[in-house]
Amino acid sequence: MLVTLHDIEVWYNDWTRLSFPAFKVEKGKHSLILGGSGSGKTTLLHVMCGLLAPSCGTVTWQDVHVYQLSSKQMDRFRGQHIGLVFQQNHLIKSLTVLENLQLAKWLAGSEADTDELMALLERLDMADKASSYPFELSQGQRQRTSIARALVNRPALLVADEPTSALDDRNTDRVIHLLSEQAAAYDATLVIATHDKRIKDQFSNTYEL
Amino acid sequence: MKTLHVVWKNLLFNFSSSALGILLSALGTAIFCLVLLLSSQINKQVMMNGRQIDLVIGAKGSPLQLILNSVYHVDYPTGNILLNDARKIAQHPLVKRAVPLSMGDNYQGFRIIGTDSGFLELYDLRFASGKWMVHDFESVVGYEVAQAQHLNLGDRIIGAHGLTSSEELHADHPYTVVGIMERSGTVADKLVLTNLSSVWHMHEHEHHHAQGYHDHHQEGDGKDQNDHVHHEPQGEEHTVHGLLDIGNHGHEITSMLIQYKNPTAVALFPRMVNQQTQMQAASPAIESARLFTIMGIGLDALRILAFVLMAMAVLTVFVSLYNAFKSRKYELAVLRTMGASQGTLFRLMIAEGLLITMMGAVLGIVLAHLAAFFISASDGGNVVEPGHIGTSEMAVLLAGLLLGFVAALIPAIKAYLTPISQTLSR
Repeated sequence: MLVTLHDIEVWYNDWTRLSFPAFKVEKGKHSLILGGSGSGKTTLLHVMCGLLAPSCGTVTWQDVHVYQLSSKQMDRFRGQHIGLVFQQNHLIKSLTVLENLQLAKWLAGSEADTDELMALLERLDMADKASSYPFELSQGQRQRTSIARALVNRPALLVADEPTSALDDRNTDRVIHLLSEQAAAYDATLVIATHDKRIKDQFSNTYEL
Repeated sequence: MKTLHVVWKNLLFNFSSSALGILLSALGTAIFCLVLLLSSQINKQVMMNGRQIDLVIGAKGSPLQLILNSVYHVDYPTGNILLNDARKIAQHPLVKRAVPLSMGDNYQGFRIIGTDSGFLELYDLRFASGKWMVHDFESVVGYEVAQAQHLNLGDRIIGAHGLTSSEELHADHPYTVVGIMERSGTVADKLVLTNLSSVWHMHEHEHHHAQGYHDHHQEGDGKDQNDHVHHEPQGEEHTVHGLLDIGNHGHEITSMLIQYKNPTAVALFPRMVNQQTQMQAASPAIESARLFTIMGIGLDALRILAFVLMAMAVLTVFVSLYNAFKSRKYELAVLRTMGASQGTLFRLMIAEGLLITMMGAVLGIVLAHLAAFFISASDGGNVVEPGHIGTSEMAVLLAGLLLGFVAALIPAIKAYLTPISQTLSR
């Protein structure tokens, strides 16, 4: 078992409380968190990735209790084990594609090997854009860059938040295919949070909110 | 991939707002630096020039003007005094050395001063080549005069009437250069020295043209003085004697520089001159101090301006960093998801503030020295040394860093405290 969430509750304030049933991600088993907007998908995702401490409940990564780590250890843990892809593909605007990947390496505390990074970009068909800035890229290219960035540190878990919400059917298929393919290639387990029912069929482990 | 690299790229990317911060801090430091540079070096110059001179005797008028004119050679004379009266002062037992000055002409903007060889000792001057003049219409030129006009021994130079203009040339009475002085770092570098009688001749010449009146009765006296100078005065008595021996009546000089025998004269001597004669005595120390309090107001105003500019720079850097923080909040949160710690974000923000103000400070110091260079180029290079880099520049640089830190502190703390999850879900 890669990640286990147990009795998670998040209180935003006294009036808004979200509670989640138990959730597990097995290693290698790509999972889907499905729910309408406002159902707490993103919250659950953040709790799982060590970005938001739950008001009660536990998050265990293999044997590690994530929220018992010190703040610094948690940052390091996040950098090394989790790759996040956001809905809006937030890249660092002032850095080139390659530098964005190098930055991810640096922040996770490891040395950047340019050949390795170029190979990764090659796989995502982005090698010729290595020295382009984010504003010079198309939406699709930006998404691929952010997938590359998420995979840079060979994370155990590749997490995508609403990766397909703004895409048509064909591109949705393409992105989901790309994510599963790259996750498999890097030996990462894919977790997608979405409200998009189109992709439901492609996942065996679905968790509905 | 280092903090500095990330910050630098970001700075280039947001060039317009970074440039404004850099520019403002540069202007602030430049003015600040220039004020420091000018005040310290003017101070040094004043010390150098007034070091040996205890008192200046001249015609009644503004004591400050007398000092400016006779010690720094910048203002116009207060008038003339009679040589006989000056001689009486020079005879006083408290006087160690008395050096007469007579002026009124210039050579290419450099003042021609009639004096005696006591002047050399007063300013501690040494010859680079040649010697003190022996005859009338010979001259000894200062280092900078020789440099600027490419003068060599034996060259003839033509003076012009007045202290600055070059219109009324005395083409019929050229001076022959018989000595060139070594660089002394004092105002003497910018003077042309000759003997008193040459200046008098020139003046009588003027008279002759203006009023058809010719007075030749002092020609022998010039020789007297020359003889003395030729032997090089050895002691105080000798020097005083040099002045006494000129022995003619009705001659005028502009002023006389006095060196006391002992410090007790400070209290008595000026008052005696001011009360008992038609002349005035002015102390370089007192007048320089007075000048500094007057100039000090100007320097203070500049200093305040510099502080205001610095404060503006801090505010600009603060606002630009704060705005950048707001627009980059999401970016910062993304950095956190990639493993950046709170400390890393804090450092990134601080480094950006430091980089902006430090570049500003360095640019400002360069600007200040460039300005100093132009100032010194326009005044002939004696007041300001543009190449001078001292501890004050280091202090300015440190101050710049401190200001950058202050400006970046709040945005950095904000960045430090950014809640990841809330920012990402917004």
